[in-house]
Amino acid sequence: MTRRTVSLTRFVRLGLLALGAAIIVFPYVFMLSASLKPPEDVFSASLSLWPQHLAAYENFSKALTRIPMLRILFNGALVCSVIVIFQILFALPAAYALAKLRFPGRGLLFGLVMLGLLVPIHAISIPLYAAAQISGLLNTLAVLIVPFTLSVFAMFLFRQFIKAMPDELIHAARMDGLSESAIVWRIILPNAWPAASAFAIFSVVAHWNDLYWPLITISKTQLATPPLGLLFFRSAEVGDDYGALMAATLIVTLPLIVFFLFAQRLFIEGVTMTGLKG
Amino acid sequence: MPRELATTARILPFDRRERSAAWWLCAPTAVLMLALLVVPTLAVLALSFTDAELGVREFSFLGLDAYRDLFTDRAFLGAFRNTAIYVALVAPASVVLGLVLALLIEAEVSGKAFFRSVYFLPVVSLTVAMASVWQYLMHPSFGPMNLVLKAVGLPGVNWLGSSDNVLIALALIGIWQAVGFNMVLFLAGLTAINRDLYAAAEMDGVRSGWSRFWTVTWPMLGPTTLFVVTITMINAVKVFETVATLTQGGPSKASEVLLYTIYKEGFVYLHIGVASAMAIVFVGVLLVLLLVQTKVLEKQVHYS
Amino acid sequence: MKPALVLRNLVKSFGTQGILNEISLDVAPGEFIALVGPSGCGKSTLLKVVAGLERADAGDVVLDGADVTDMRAADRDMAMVFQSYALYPHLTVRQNIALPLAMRRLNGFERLPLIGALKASTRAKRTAIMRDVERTAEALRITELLDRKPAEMSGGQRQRVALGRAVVRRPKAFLMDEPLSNLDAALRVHMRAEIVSLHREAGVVTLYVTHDQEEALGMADRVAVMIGGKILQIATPEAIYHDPNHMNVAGFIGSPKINFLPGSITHNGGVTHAGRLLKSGLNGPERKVTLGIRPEHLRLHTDASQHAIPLHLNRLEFLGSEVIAHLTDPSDGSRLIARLQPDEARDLTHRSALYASASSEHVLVFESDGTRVQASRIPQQETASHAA
Repeated sequence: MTRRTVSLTRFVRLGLLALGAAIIVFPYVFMLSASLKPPEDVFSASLSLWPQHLAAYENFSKALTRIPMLRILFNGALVCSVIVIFQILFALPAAYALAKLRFPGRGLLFGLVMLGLLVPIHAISIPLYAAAQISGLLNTLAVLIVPFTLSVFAMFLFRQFIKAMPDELIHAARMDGLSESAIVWRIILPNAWPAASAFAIFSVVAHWNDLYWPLITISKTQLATPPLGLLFFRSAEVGDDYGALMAATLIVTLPLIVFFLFAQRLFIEGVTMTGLKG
Repeated sequence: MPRELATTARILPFDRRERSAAWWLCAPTAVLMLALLVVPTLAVLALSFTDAELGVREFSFLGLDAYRDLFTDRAFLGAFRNTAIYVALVAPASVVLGLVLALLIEAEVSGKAFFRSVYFLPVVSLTVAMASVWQYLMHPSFGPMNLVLKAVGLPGVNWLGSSDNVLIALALIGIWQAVGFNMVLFLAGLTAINRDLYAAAEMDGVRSGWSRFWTVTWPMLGPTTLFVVTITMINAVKVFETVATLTQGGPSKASEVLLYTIYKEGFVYLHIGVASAMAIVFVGVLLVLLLVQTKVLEKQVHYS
Repeated sequence: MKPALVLRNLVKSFGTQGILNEISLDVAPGEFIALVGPSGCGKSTLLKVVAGLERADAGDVVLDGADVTDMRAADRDMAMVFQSYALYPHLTVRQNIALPLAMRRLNGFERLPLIGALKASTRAKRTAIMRDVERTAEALRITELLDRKPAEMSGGQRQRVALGRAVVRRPKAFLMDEPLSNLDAALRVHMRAEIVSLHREAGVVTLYVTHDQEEALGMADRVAVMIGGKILQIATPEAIYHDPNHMNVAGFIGSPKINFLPGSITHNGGVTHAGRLLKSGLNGPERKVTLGIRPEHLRLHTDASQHAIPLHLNRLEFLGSEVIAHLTDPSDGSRLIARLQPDEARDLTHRSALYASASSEHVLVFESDGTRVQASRIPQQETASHAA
């Protein structure tokens, strides 16, 4: 049971894992390779990864200029961060009240949270869109942010987490004279850091990836988020310029991957925690 | 000044203070809930019974006929069927693969973190972007997938361009994306299993890895497995980005899925009444999935 | 009589840290050995090595004459009871206890839930298994729990199920890893008696690991005190208590802890502390030693004498059946403890300056390296500078 040498089982296991890893990584490898190739190389139907002629400059400059790529990346980052900040800002106090305070209407509020968990944003997109159109908020950054400032998932997650925190902590704070609001921001938030960061990661990944809402509310390229920007790029390019397209996908995918590689443990713990509490 | 000295049952200043603090804390959220959840939900429910169109003033109330029309509409039933096929392809495969990978990685001593990160990459990659990459990979003539097949003597496949294959192609992409997420969840479930159980099993005479899996691992993974299955199915039902990017429902509506149909009806054709009815059915499907999970959870999966 | 279990020179380290340091032990058939020591001393690891759940780096384990060192745990025919009970949460009590029997008497095919029951011979085997399970459940008085799941039971009930699972197999040895530490004090005392009677009835070797020295003394035929990866002493409970061979053994066994005082051996074999002669008749050169006197052996009184140690009374703690006196030794400021009967203490309440005496055989003497100095025994190291 405790042999250290490379046994047959271990060899097979590593082999399977490596095979799987190769399949997973396979798209990235070709994405990178194609982003460096000029169209002739792409069409040449060869499996070689290195291009005959290096067309990196052309591909990447097309990717950056056909659509305002950097502006779009910035939009995505801005929208996602503002959303997360507002989500925590609104959800944390309510979650604390749900978890630790007694008040009439608590049951109703929690019931609404459960309702919110059941109803995905897509289902209510129609009236929200109509409201946005009527109030003239289409094609603004605000319309990308406002509907998501309410996160029932955050409320649910934080409530479970805060419920598990010892009551004594809060009693001590009250005896020290802190107001309930101060308790939320000075006591609960620092102690709920694992849950908050887990949620932040979950939210950023979800909203960075969201195509549906920006698709229906934004038509100006300047205001696009990365998924929508990429879609615009696809329609803007001439023919099957896969090289430029791969360059564009590379640029757009890189930020989150880099972020992930630096904060791996945070990501994985975040997924684990949201999974366990869910 | 200590305020914890409530001793009788009457409402003391302390309770009132707690109540008003709670209301203040919840006020912003409550407003948002009303505006962003309650009202829109009611609106969708109301709209679903009409034939309203965006931009058209008049509309008529159809009542339950709206739903009857929906369930006889071939296009909608087609979307329903396509989504079901997609879920049936993606869910079992990505759950089983996720479990197998988690078992392999759990047993692996040194490469754990590396493999975990590699398999997790698709989860943090932009879906629209990776869909575009897969489009390149799946190109019939120069896409690497067909090139590899041809290199080993097999014929190339028309992945995204054929109505017979398109759901399979999309499912492959879906599995590729979901496996890493499921793997991480299963890993968490595996590490939570009490090690003493394996020791006890060994002492009891459980020798092979196969027996160990069925005696300890699989039963203890029950809650995790249920969660993973549910999440995977719900995410599969919500498939949208790949369809919107790659096939737009085609070829010949072979990849038209529920969310995409809702999008087209509501925002391209502007039939918001019909789209709302579809949205309600969509929510209904998700609700059923969640209810099944809760029922199974209560019945047998729950041990302390 | 040939020993039932032999451990020979077991060595184990994790990385650079040594856990087991040449452990050797002979266990007679049917003997109950308590392995006691502070946390981290390696006793759980030793148990796992004996069970086969871990492999030693060197050394042998011999069970009933057969060398099992290279066998995996499942083949060694020993049973283990865990601190966390390790009951299968998804199985009923009946199924939990039946599992070890099913694994051993039925093959893979016969174990399948429905298909396995098709053959008559399998059905017969299963009935026999269930009979054994019910018999064991009756012996442990858990018959009414047979169809419950572990989550629906208390800690004490779970522990009995764990014992049942171990006992039903009639193994060659029982290994118990702190099985009672998760139970509350009253239950623990009760379960101790049950475990000992189970052991007697089964009549096989039991190796019982605990950090609770009272438990060890109360249950075992012999107690092995393990500190720092070594077995310092293995002897009957009385011998361990009254005749420890090392300071660490004396300090670990006994509650409240033994009093240690600095002392010296004089040139004529007398043992002194702060100038008072407490014992005589030892051999060897003059040297510094440590004296150990158990709290119950310190008699407090008011007669100043050559053989009594002056002490200062700090506080009396009334515990009902006895009184604990907290004292300070003015010669070096150290704290001492004495146990008194309530009426002995009554006379002392108002006095803070007292004298303590102990009879000669209760004064334990330890060399500077910790080993015990016995009367008329010459210490191992004789340094030239201590010419008699």
